[in-house]
Amino acid sequence: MTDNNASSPRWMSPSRWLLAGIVILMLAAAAWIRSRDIAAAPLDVSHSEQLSFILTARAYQAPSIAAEPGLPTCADYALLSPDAPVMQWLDAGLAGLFHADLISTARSVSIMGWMLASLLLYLLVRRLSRPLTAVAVLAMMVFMPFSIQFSRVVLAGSWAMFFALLAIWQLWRWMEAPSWGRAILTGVFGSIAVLMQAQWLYILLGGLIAAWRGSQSMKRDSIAQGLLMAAFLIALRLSAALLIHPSSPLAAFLGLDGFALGLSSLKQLVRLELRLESIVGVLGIGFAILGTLLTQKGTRRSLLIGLWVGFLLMCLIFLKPISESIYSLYPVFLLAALSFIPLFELLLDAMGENKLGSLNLWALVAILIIAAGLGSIDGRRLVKANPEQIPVDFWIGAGEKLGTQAVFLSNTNAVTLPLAVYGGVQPACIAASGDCSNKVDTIAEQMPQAELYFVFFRNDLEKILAANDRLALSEYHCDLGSGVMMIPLTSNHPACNATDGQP
Amino acid sequence: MSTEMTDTRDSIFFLKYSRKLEAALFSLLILLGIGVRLLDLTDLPFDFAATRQLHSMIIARGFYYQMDTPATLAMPQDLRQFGINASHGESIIEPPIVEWLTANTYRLAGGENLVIPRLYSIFFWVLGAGAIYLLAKMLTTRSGAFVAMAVYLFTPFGVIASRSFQPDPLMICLVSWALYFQLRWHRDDTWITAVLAGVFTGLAVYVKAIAVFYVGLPILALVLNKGFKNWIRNPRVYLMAALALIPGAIYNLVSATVGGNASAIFGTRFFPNLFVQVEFYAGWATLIRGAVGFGAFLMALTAVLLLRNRSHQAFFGAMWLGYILFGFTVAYHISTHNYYQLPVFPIVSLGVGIFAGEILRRLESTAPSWIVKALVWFVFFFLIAVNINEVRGTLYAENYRPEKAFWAQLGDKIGHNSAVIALTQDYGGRLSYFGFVNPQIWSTTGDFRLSALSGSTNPDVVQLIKEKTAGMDYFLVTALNDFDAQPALKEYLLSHYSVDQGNGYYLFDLHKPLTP
Repeated sequence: MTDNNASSPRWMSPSRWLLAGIVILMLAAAAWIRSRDIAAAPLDVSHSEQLSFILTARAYQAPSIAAEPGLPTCADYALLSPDAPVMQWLDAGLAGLFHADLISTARSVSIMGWMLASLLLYLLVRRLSRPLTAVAVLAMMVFMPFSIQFSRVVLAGSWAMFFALLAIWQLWRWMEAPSWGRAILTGVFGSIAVLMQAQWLYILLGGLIAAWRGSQSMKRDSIAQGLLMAAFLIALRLSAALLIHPSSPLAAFLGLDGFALGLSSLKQLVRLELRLESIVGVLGIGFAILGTLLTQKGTRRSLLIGLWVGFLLMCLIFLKPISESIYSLYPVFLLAALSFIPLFELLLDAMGENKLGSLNLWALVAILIIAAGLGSIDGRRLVKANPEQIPVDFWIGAGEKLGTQAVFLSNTNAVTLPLAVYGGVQPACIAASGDCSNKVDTIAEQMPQAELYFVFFRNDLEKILAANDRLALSEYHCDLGSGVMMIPLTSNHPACNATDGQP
Repeated sequence: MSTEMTDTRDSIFFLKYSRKLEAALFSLLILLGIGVRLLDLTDLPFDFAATRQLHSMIIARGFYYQMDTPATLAMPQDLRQFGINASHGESIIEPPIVEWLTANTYRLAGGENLVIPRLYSIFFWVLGAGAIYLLAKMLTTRSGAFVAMAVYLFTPFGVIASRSFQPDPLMICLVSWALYFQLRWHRDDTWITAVLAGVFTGLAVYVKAIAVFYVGLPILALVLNKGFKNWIRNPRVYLMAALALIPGAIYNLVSATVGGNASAIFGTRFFPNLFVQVEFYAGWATLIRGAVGFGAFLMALTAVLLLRNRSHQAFFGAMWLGYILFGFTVAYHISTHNYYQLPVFPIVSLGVGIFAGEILRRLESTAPSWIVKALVWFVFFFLIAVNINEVRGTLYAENYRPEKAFWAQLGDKIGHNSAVIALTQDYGGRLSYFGFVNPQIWSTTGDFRLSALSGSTNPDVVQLIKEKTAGMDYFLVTALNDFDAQPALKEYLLSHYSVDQGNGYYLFDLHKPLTP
């Protein structure tokens, strides 16, 4: 790359001030687009995961609520996700510190994480390539439509990616010149990323194996350092899993909970392809492959191929979550951006031969503005999308009907999560599997004075009545609307009008 | 063109160039391009720009019914006359060439068959792929040219649009060939190339006047690029200009004056007030995404900077300028009607081809292993397969065939001679074509919005209902979502007239008021 820079036309090396201005403007514009409707309900993608996140953060925010025996504790909420609730804890603390609402705080923290990861990538690419290549990569990271959506979700992905990128940077440096310091830094940063989101375990392991194979010298130290990095990647997540989920199988720790290859996997594979296509486009997939092939042979290419192999392995392992939510694929942004580096280099090389001189720079700025505009418009469309069948207003209304003193159970998280988050009703049971039917008797006995309700979908009525005597013998059940019903459990606390109820 | 281009000009995706290889790959793409368009061939053409297609269907049927053939003579003559009258009621913006061809083919085939115009459109679009390939080959490598051809042939929106019965596939075909001959003329300034460039440019503008944006600016760029002294003394430039402009100008002049189509040709299109509205740009961007995708669009935009030859740069840049000017000229339509994005296809195809050509050229210069070469071939065909699969999914997701019976039965229920006002799909085109009922149209919410853009104020709804329903027998509603979006109309009709509500329609009997 040094040779390239030496022979590059002047317009390809704009002044530091101009570059800094462009980068700051891009980040500011990207942050501004993402900050619209910052307090909006998280309906656009991974609804359940975001609601779990909010509930867990709320539990950290007000642990006193859980002081009541029989109600779930912070640890119970943490079981909702196999990942460690680091960001939930942090967001709760920040929201309390700044007296801000939780959703706005969590979104702001996510946005900040994505912006920092993008800036970090920009700085990394500046070391590897021309400044304008770094600007193009930054534009990809902050203005691609799905990046706008994914970067503002109330989940830990942004920060996991930030730490993963730090780990990749250190890993690359280790490949260039192995040292214990770099190995430890890679391990530490990687372990934080893996702790936050299991996807990174496979991606970083892929990178690590490639780095290990591609390292210049297979000395005893290199082997030991490689093992150390791998141990780091696993250790923190394993420790957290043992601490938070002591009774869960190892599969949960590895993100293998729903892993099963079968006939349905074929459909899920097609869906995986479609989802990747919708994020980066058909041509984007093709050009990412070409970009990887075009990356100079050596450490960079080995590392990139390793990361992609790890990513594909992750896709196979997470087929089910990916088929349910496109968000699980967010690491593709980082890998695509890294793969596009040689393509951007090539384009700049070609532009260097077109005799337009510094006009190229202004044309590129114009294209950047158009790209930012197109991406922002589409990103806003994605953010405003609402695939949820039941509107938020319904859950707010249901919460008002039950009242703030009420406590409820449900057989499904599809009720528990929105009723707790939007309706503001205290859930009496939080189960990772979603089903709290078997806790009805225990909770009713533990909380005899509470206004306890069982809330469920109408389709489950027969199953619910058959499952538990207490539910079957209840005085009445009533329809809250939108296909949701409730049964008072401890005494007659009619959340519906008596006329609504069916004796 | 730089000399380093020569090494890859003699290869096709890393294989040594041979005419057989080129012909085989070209033929394969053409066959696949035709094949994917034949999927779900017999479904009704409501999958894309239904209003526009119905317009052409009605005109073609009118031409056909005017012919005395065994089939037209054997059919009920009142229906035949209805078809002729309906076609006379359609405003004529472009010369109905495809409609005329279709009607004559109906005669040869012994009756109406909507597969026929679809096949014509497919033929025209696929024919354009040849021009795209030849043109791209002049601008980039052979591999890049094949990528351009693949983008043109297999982008899902393009596949579906290229089956539609409207002049656009023919226009795109002619635009592509015109651009090719223009560049040929620029390279070899002979009388033959000048005539071909002029004729195809003229034909493109004649078929659809808006093509002037797409073929006019590039040829202007090429002419100017030759230098003032050169073109001012070059008689072939004047010949090209005459051939390019005269047919379209005469047709539009005659049509607007003698034909009385001035308002159809020039009316309600230019809305400069939209230029300052975010919704205009958002709508435009959304339609670009749906047509070619942002990635391809941006790659094609960047491709202007990848061309080393200044004439090529000016030529390709002028294509983009034409698109942008066109967009601002027809601001409302470019941001609301997806088929207004069709002319961007040749530009984006060429742009992506140039982009890919550069990348493949660079890859080839690194002496890649056979695995890499095989991977590139795999990716090329895998991406084509992905697109074909997407098209297949889209086409088979909807079955419009039952609509034929629905509209026919609705027409029988209403009576072909009844006076009907309707809030219905496609300006009554479906009811007219299949139901043989020609309704007066109650404006949709989109129409009211367009009127507001033109400066009209929305009238009092009750007053408007009274005015529009005077002398009418029925008020038909089949655009149910739009009916919900016009609550005042809905409330008035439901509270004032008896209604026959069926699956997908409300039929208000205006002779049976609910209150005396």
